[in-house]
This record gives sequence, structure tokens and C-alpha cells, in this order.
Amino acid sequence: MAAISLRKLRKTFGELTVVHDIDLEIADKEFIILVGPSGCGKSTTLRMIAGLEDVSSGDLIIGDLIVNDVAAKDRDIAMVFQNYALYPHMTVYKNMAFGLELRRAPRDEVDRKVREAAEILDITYLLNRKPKALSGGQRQRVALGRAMVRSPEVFLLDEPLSNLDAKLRATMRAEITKLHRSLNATFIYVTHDQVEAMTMADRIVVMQDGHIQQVAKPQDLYDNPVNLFVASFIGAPQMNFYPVTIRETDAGFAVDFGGTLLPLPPRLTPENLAPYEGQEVTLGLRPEAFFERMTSEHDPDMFAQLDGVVDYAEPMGPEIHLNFAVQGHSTTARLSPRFAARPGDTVTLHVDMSMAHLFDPKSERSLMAGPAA
Amino acid sequence: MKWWLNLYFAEGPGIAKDLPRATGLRLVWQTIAREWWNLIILNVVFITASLPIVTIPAAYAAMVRVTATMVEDEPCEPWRDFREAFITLLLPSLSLSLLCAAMVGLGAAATRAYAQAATESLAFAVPLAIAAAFLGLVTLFTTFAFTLLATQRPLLPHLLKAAAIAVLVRPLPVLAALGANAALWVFHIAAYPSTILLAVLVNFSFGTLLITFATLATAQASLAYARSRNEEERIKTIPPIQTGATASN
Repeated sequence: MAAISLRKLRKTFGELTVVHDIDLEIADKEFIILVGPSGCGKSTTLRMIAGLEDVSSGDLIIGDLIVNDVAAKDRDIAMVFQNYALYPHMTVYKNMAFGLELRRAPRDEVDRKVREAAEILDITYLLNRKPKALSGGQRQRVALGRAMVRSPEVFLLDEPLSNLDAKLRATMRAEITKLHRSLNATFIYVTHDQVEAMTMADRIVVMQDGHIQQVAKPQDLYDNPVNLFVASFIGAPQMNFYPVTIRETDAGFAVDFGGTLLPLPPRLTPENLAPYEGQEVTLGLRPEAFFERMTSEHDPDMFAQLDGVVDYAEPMGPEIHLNFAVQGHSTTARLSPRFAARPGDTVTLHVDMSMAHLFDPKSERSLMAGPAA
Repeated sequence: MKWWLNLYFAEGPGIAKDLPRATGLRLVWQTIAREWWNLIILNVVFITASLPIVTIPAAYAAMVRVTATMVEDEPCEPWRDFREAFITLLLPSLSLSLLCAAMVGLGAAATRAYAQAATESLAFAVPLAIAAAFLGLVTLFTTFAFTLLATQRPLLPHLLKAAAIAVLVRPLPVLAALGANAALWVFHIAAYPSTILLAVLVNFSFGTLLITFATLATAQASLAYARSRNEEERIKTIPPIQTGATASN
């Protein structure tokens, strides 16, 4: 049983508080990813769970036990570091076996576990090699293998793929996901790469400045960000933001964007919108909310047209990212690669307002999330 | 400082999974390049373990076991693996060494005797050649027998049979390895005392690595053949099972 609870967990370095009384429940065998920009406290949180940093206040509970004062080696946790931290003078086999040998595990058991882990990670052919000869991906597999042989209840991974090239990172993402399934253990993974977070996690914890902003499943996080930070952090290219004013019309509530009235989706209820009537809020539209033309599948009541001047286009292969200015606001749209536009052209795009998000500009909270607690 | 850190921590080019395994002298070189430090440790451990003289066969067999692990590119820890093999092989290797020493001694004595006789009468040239050939074959037999004992520990009849087969199948690589060993020692003696460290750090383990490299595959294949022949002969001695109809007839 390796459920983990963080209760009002705080970390301070002198006067500086880097983790602010966070609460988080991590279920047994869950794959949870802490994501956020540099300096948001995600690695510090992970290191507190590992026992590499003392907890300043609050409780850290693993299973049923408060482990604030339990030594790292006694927490039944294995950690994989960004820089691999392999012993350069030992072979791969010895690197993987070393932890078990220190615990005086029987030699047969050490050998069996090392070979099993090597088989799973497909590094059997590297067992008698030194880390110096290995590529980054191979080193990372060894680091994973070293964690695996201990059969811990919890794996902590601190940006393990950051040093790998893009292709290898994609491969390793899939392998770590498979590994989580096969090992049946709790994984806590830290990254600043939202693609890793979205593709691998059961749930994502978005952190900023030592605070947890939102905890949700990847798709929920993408579809229903609770505030401007999460909305802007999750999604690539990121969400477009515009200052708009809420207006009540005969057809219900709409937003006024520089004199153009845009409809709002039914999920934004009058109860959400009424307090903001006549006030300025922030409209958020993801790049995929823009279309070259409407089709029969689209709801015409939810569509509006926006004109813009093309700045530049980024061909991505299966799509292009068209960067253009709408009423002076920089906008990115994800369009078909056949869409032809040159810098300086004026384009008219259709916007699916059923995908719109509204945020309170002061509290930065989503209007759908209700008032701040 | 950075170059020094890079020496240890910089990423390497990676190792291809499907890289074909090197063979021949290239494999020897790769093994030495990879295991040079372990070979030095092994040499010192061998000398230490051989000090009581009577333990030389066990120390040699243990060294063969460790070098076989190196040749097979398996993870090895010279001290630990040597100690385990030394304890396990102490008595069997002593017995085998007595048997082999008797045969080599017999061959050497006969060769010496016929060589002296041949100086007086050419009629002894033929028995001299036979004795010398016997001595050479018995020496090769001994190297194969120790490799088999150290790596496979077969039953004595299988060991003797397999070693004899191996001598006949591939004697040349072992002769080359023994020649390289002889050259190493001749160099050591000729350049003594400047080469004193060569013997302390390298000669025994490096020489044994060459012998193991030359004998291992042939010895294993010969043992597999000897065992399969033995199994075939055993099956032939089992009477056929009689069916009901045959039995009633």
C-alpha cells in the first residue's frame, strides 16, 4: 500500500518559502505528474517525499505512516535523477546491483533482480559496460533499472527525460508508461514539459510559485483550466487571450470584443455570468477553436467570424500554426496545412465559441470554477 | 577540470544492440581493454593464493573461471568470483593436476630419455618423436581439461573424453596461446629486473586469459558432443518397449 498524502506541507529555506502548505492525495499505484515552470517548487516537493529535504511543517504520510522524520533509505522509495547519477567506475550490472548489495541481499536474488530489470528495459547487452560508453537514453534506462531492482512501493522521477533528444524522449515516454503498468507501483514524476505530463499521467498537478494551482486528469486539465495560469501553461501552442466585456442581450449573455458580439457556450450559465455583466473579463480561445470554414457538423449559433492580419505561419507538417493579429491581439490558430496565407494578408476565420473560456481578470480564476475559496 | 569530469561523466556514443560480436584477436583486445584493471587484480590474487604451492592448481582453475567470465562478456568481480571458484575447485583441481602432472611427467621423462638415446643411435628418433608428440598432446589435454573443470565441472569420464576430443579438433589456437605465454615469460626473464612488475601485475592473468580464449569454445563444444554421444550409447542399451501385440507373439 503506497498511497501518499501531503498535508499542509511547507518548505522554507531561511526567509524564503518555496512550498506553501500544499495538500495532495496520491492514490496507491497512481501515476501522478508534478508540472510547472522552473522554480515552482515541484522538485523540492519531490525531494521532500524522497527524504532528501526536511519538511519545514505539515505532514508527509506514506501508507499509514507519517514519514517526516523517517530516513530516505527507510521509506521504500526509489528515485531517478535528471543527470542519471550513475557511478562512472562501475559497470551497468554493478550500478544496478549496488543498492541491493549494500542492503546485504543474497547474491542470487541480486543477480535475478538485475537480470529481470535489464530484460524489461532491454539493456541486457549493456550489463558488462561502463556508463562512459552509453548514450543518454541508455544511461537513463540504467538509472530506471537501478530504481527497479529495489522493487520499491514508490518511484520518484525528477525530470528523467530532460537530457534526451526529442525522438528518444518520445520513445522513453512510452516505455515509462508501460513500465508503470507492469510494475504496479506508485509513480511521482516531475517535469516542466507539458507533453510528458499530458501523455503519461493519470493525474497532473500544476504548480506555480510553491502553490498547487490545479489537480486533474490530463484531459480535464486541458478542457477545464481553473485559472489563467493553468490555461496558459497547458496546451501548445498556448491559449489565446483577449479582453472582452460581458453583455446581456435578448439571446442571453455574450461577450463584446471590440464591438463584435460573440456568443457564449451554455456551460457558462447566467449564474456564472450575471455578476460580471458590463465588466471586462478575459476570453480564452485555444488555437484549435479557429476554423477556415464552417461545416455541417458545426453549430452555427456558436460560431463567429474574426478578421486578422497575418504575421507569419509555421508549417508543422500535419497542420500549420498561423500567427495573426486580431484587433491588435496576437493570436495563434491551428489550421489545415493547405491553408494559404502570406504575411500581411487579411484573413477571416470562424471561431467556435463553444470552446471559449472566460476568466476573472483580477482573481484570474475561470468563471466556471465559481468564486475563489 | 572540465576535461577530467568529461572523462567520467560525458555521454558516450552509445552501444548498438545488434552490433555483431567481435571475434579472434579483436575480441581479445576488446576484452583486455575492458577488463585490464580486473586482470591486474586477478594476477595479484592468483599469486597470493598460490603461495602455499599445493593450492596452485585450485588458484589456476579459479583464474580460468574468472577469465572465462571475462571472455563471455559477463559481469565479473575478480576477488569474489575467484574466491568462490577457488573454494569449489580446491580438491577437484588438485586431483586433476596430479593426473595431468603424472602424464606430463611421463611424457617429459620419455622424451628426455629418448633424446639422450637418439644422440647415440638414430634408431631412437622414432620413439623420440612419439614421446615428444605425446608430451605436446598431454600438455594441450591439460589446458583443455582445466578449462572444462573450471567452467563446466563435468563428470570425470566426460571431462577426459571432451578434453581428448578438443585436443584433436582445434589444437592450433591453444598452441598459439601457449606460445604467446612462453614469449611473455621469455621477455620477462630477458628484461629482468626491469620487468619485475610485469609478472606481479600481468603475466599470469593475461596468459591465462589467452589460454581461456583459445580453449573455451572448443572445450564446451567437445563436452556437449561427448555428453550427446554418451546419451546415444545409453539409449542404445535400453531394450525396446514391447507393444501388446508383439508381446503376445
